Amino acid sequence: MIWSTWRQHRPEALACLAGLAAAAAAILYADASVGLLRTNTDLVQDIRLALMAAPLLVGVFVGAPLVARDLEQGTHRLVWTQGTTRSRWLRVKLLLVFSVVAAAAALLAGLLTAALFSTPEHVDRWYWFDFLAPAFVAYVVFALWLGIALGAVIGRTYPAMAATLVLFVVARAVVEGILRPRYLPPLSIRIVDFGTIDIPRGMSADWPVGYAYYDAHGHPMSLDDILALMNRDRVSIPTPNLAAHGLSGWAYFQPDARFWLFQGIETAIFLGLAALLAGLAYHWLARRVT
Amino acid sequence: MTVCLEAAGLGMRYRSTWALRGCDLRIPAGRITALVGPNGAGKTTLLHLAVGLLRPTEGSVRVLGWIPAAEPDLVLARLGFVAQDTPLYRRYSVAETLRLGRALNRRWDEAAATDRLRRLRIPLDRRVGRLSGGQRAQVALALALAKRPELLLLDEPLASLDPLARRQFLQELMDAVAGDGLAVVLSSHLVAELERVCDHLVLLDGGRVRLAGDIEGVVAEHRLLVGPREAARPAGVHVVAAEQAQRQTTLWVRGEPPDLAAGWGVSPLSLEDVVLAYLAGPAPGEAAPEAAVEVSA
Repeated sequence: MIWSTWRQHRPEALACLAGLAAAAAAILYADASVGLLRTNTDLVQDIRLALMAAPLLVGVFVGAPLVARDLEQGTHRLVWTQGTTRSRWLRVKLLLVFSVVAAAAALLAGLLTAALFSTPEHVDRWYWFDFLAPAFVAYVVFALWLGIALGAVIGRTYPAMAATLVLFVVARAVVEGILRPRYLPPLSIRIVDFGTIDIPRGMSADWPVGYAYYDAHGHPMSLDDILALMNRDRVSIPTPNLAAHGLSGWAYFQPDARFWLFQGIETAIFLGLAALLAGLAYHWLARRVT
Repeated sequence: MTVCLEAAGLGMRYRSTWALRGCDLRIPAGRITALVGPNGAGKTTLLHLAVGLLRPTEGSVRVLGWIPAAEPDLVLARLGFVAQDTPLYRRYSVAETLRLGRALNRRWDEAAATDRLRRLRIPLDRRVGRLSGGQRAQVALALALAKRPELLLLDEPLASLDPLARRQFLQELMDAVAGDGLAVVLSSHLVAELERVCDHLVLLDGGRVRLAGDIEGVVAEHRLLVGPREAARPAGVHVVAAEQAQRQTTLWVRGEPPDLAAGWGVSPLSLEDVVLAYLAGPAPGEAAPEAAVEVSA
């Protein structure tokens, strides 16, 4: 079974291995030369881009074809009718691929996490949220099972790959853009000077998730309203005091101390989804109408 | 009669259409059974139910005494199956294909498989995708036989082969079966080819069994009657199909007419003629429901 899984998925396995080696080498090199905290360098940006794409590539190129190709080419009628039964074939093959992929993801994320936190300098952890150990591994595992489940249900390789791509991007965008800032109610501080809203005092390690401005009557104002007001009053733009104009402003943020809690919540969400998809894939394939 | 495959009220529905319905069937052990019928008759569905690729919508099927969907390991270890279009991994070499078989089966006769392929001059290091259709079918057969099965199910193994490859395939099959007591079920829509190798027949049409029995008996039981158009139809026989021409009536019948009126001529039918007569007659469900015909030798 190990041999047959390896033989069948040799190209994907070798591509994953090459990708893993290249990414690990790039991380180690960046850490040793420019330093991973020089986030304005091309090398560091390329590493972030590659790590952003990695789960998607795993889902699309490893997960989606894993079962879909057999169903599409009819070879499931060959392997599911041998002395090794379909359920054992599925269990061994899926668990084997899952273990290898999860181990590779853990290795990569662990390496990056260790490299980042070994520097004495201050690290903006929120900036690296998507690439650190537990969450990144959960993305990869989720992408893999999303691909496998869609491949099983759709039964055709290319449509399954396309569906995996779309659904993975949607899932990640929804969680990152809508859910993550709301895992816990954000804390807020008053903005004193308008010009300092990008990095309010004392928030350099926190994660700013939103701002709100109000006029003297407590009505919410948009940023454009404020800029128009400042223009009308011919205020000098650097650091105008909001209170002097009868305005108030609040910055909302998730404090630095919640970082690992948020990592845990995000990891649990994606691992939970992955478990549901694994159950769906297994159930569907075990009882599938061919 | 020892039975290796038995169906009772077996039905399989895909969404709204029944591919197989009310199928009652007993296939004898140790025999070579031809499973014939037009495309869409339900042959592949029946075989997929027998190997547990499908679960029946209603009724039951037992293979070698077990229900395949419930006890797949007990059935699949003793059964060889070659699916339609002989699916194999095209990028595997022949040797790797055999290795896959070894990896997936506890009972495995590697020597028999390699000997067979060597004798057929199929290079073991060649990729399956580069073999001819006939060679691919031989590799699939060798893979199924290496399990040392008690029952071999072949789904349209001849469909994509040229006449020479067909003959070689059937020859190889006969050699393997000889003396082994192995039961074979061979599905095909080509009847003439099967008459030489098979000794039992199951005719499926529209998802139901139309005719089942030993081929010798089936052929002996049926005959062609030709008589004048106005003559009364002979009594004591079952008319399978009838054709009215301008001056004469042609009847395909089962049974022996006790006494024929003057003007009627009797001639024997080949297996193919019998099968075509059943397929030309009213399909089940169209006319009054008609029980499947069981012919005993």
